Amino acid sequence: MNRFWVLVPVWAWLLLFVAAPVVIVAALSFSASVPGVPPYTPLLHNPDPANYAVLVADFYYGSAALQSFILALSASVLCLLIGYPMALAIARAPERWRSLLLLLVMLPFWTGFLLRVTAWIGLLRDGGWLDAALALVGAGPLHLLYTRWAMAIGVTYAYLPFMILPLYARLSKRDPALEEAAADLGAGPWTVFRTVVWPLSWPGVVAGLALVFIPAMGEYVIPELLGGPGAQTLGRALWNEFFANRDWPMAAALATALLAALLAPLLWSQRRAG
Amino acid sequence: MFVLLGGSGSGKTTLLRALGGFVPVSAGRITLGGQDITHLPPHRRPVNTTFQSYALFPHMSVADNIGFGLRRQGVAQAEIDRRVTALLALVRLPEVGRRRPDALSGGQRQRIALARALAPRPRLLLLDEPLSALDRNLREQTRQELLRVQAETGTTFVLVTHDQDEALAIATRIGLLHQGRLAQVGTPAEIYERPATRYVAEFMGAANILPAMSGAGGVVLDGIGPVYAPAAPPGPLHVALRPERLALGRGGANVVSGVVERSAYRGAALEHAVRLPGGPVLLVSQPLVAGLGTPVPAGSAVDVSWPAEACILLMS
Repeated sequence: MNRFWVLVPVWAWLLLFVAAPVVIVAALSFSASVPGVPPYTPLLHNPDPANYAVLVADFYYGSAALQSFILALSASVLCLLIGYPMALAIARAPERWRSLLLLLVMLPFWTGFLLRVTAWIGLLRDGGWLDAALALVGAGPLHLLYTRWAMAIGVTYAYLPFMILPLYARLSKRDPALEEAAADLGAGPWTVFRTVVWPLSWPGVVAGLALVFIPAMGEYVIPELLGGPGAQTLGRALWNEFFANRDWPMAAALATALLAALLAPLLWSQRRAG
Repeated sequence: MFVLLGGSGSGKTTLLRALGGFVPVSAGRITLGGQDITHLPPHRRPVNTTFQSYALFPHMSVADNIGFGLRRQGVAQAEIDRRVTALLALVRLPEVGRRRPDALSGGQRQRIALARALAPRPRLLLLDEPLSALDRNLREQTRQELLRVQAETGTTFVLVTHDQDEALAIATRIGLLHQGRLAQVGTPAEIYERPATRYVAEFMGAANILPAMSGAGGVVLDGIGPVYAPAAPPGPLHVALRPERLALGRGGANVVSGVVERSAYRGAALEHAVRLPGGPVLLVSQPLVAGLGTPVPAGSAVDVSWPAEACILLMS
């Protein structure tokens, strides 16, 4: 009985602020756009999957999904490549250093997200800090800003902590005796990593990849600021439908489709793990 | 089977880890069969370890755990399979190869850890407190298994323990560590019967240790008087008397009288504490060879006797 009352606020919260909005957006996606307030036909009055037909038929949305996918994937891989050594180093650091190092990882959260992304414009633009640094060693300029690379760098930078934290949580629980046992049985440092450290950290890797990939798929601000006009990602497409075209049902269909596409593999892996 | 024995903090695990290559050696050398291995990293040493926590790889099957070292040596898969099967038979767990370590009991894990460490055919096998995590019955059984496996493989085992009974039962030779130094090295009988120092005598089991003086008239125990004992160089010394070498009654060369202070039934033996007139209390262990033992009432006057050779002379 006690357990029930403890869980009531949790379920109420989930119902009101997670389930209900999703249901409303899903319902909205089956209505049609009309001029006026609100700019759509009454919900569930005459459900029509026409918006989804447009999603499939219009190459614009497919290409946006592909662009977002490439962006999210490259950022996830970059985050893993940069984040894994950092997480490992923090997990192996002396106990008293660890909380300080973790604090440093999270320090960027203490300033505004927009500000931090905007700062990358100054770093990446032609003649910016990066070009200036490269010029010192006689390289560059790279013309990075407003390219895919600029977006990937921005997303990698913004989401790196989400990769490091789950990896650290996993790696800090590792049993040093296992690594010693592997070395004892003839494994050199690289083989110890390949056969013991990496496979045992796999759940952390999956969690980190999901935490970077999922928000990166719908990311709006970074493509808007660092990507060129050609960078039509899902986030920007969604923004355009809502605010430029005022086609709420179409935007809702896009959002619902994205949610379903992201949820499906998660549910699948959950079922496989459970 | 060499046993490193010592209390906690005596440095026995550190010494074992130095042999395995896990702690750097600041002074001295480690040689194995004439080859200096002091500065070889663990993965280049022909030495394998069973860890106290067993350290089996949780993400691999039992067979892959055992085959790990062979795979590192580049042994062909068919040969690995053959040797893993043979090792599972050696530790008498032929059916568990496909299971995960977490599906095994503590005793089974111990044996898999042993099989895994033996697989690469090390010159030297190190065992860090291999029996401490097992319950009492399993410990005795696993101890016999260790001895059998050691005899069958002919590998030198170095085993670390803090349990002197275990050391006595299993060792060919014992090295007793005290504050990072070997206090004495010898066979179990040598260590038990002829402890080199007072610390060794105390560590190897409850002993009556009495201050004494050796002079022209032989050995004189403080508060008791002259006793028949092996010859000793003149000067102050301690005499250790093992409780099981003392007897109630007048059967030995040395006889003293005292009063029973307490007397308790301990299963295999009766244990009496006898206070002597001079002050010291002697612990006497009376083995129960046949029948039930009845504790002696406190306050009874008894004689305690022991033969001359029961006196263990400790110069330091």
